[in-house]
Amino acid sequence: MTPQREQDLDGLLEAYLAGRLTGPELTAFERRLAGEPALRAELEAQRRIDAALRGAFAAPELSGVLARAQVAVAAGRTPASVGRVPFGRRPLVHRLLIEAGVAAVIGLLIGGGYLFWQSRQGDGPRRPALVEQSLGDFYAARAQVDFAPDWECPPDRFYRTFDYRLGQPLLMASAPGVTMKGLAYSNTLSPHTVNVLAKVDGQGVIVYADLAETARPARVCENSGLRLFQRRLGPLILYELTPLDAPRVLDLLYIPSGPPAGSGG
Amino acid sequence: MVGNGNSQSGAPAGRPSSSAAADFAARFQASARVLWLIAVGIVGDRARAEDVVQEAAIVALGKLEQFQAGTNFTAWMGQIVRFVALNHARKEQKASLVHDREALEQSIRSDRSNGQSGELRLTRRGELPPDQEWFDDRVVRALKAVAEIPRACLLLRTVEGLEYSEIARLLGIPEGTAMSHVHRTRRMLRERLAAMQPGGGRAKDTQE
Repeated sequence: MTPQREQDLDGLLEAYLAGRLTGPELTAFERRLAGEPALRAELEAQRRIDAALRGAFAAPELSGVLARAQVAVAAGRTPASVGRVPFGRRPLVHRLLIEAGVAAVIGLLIGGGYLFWQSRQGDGPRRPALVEQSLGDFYAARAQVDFAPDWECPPDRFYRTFDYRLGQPLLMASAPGVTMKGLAYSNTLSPHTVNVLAKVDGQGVIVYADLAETARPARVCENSGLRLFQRRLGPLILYELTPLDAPRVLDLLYIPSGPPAGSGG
Repeated sequence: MVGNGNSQSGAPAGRPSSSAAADFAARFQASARVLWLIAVGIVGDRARAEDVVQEAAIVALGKLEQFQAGTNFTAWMGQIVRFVALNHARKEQKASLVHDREALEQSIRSDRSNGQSGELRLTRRGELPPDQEWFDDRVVRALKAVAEIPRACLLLRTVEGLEYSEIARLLGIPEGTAMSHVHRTRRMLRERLAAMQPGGGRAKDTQE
């Protein structure tokens, strides 16, 4: 393939993944996809790579960077001499002031956190006393009710549920053939597991999301006929349990840079 | 506005006035994600990228009077981040390139010998093997073998969704170069990751 054709193909993959192909262009590209397994493989690989990059290179909170730079400038330091400003070199009065400030912030966070926790007791989905069960058992139970979620989720509630339950907001991109039905809680990886219930090409698929550090090992019965795929996303571990040959939902989940538009923060 | 070409009154030499500093802070916060992506693209490390952005902020605070009102703050700041990041990168370039190539080849060998693919291989008890590697990690490792500017182009395009014209302005390269860096790097990553599949083949679709 010539460099120009490679560039054209990449442009098409990018436009398709970004949902920018429409009308006859979209129809023609999907027809090509249906007839070219190699192109489908390229598309799938690119989608996974993009998702991995967005997860791995989500920008951290950077307000501290500017604050440190301002402290350095106020202290008359030159760029070459500045790393993270070393605590031990500050005058005693500065250190005491900073320590007092840190203590005050910690106190406010603890107090505010407690008030927030109290305020949430009567709001949002209650934490039921969930029975510990395997991923397969949870899947089988949901299959009996056609993968009905505990609640349907517009993007802002999806975002807030993950933020509230696991401390890491998530959003889910759309993709052809994938319908997100909603969310449910389970005690499969821990008592705090959040489940995304979806239909992929008409088949039920469940994603189990939990904190990687505290999640129990995933278990699936060998003869369940289901396949298990996993992905690490920030502090979360995600498993997709599916009757299909490849994961279709895992890579649609991503760490957003902020709340979805229209959520009011 | 941050600066207007004139020195700020009421502030010691070399230090910005409080209003200019506040304006700088607001603009800096609005651009911070893009600046960090430039830095991490060039130095290839999240923690070092923060150091780079911090150092660039110090440089910029000392040069506020050089910023021309009405021009693009992110582009001006991005240029400073780029210079600082390239200085950081050059210090370790030789060692890291050799090291990263070795690390990449090692990871490919390791993935092949472990028979890793996208699907999890469960033990007989249905548990995950303890040495399970992550696709995301493989992408990040493969990206380490990419040169600084192409890597920065890819991240700005993929993570932040910037137009090629904006990427070109931030990195001081022609727009066509930014575009070809992105396409070539994406293709290279797909090939590298396909090579990590057992047998060095492509994804399962090709076997249909």
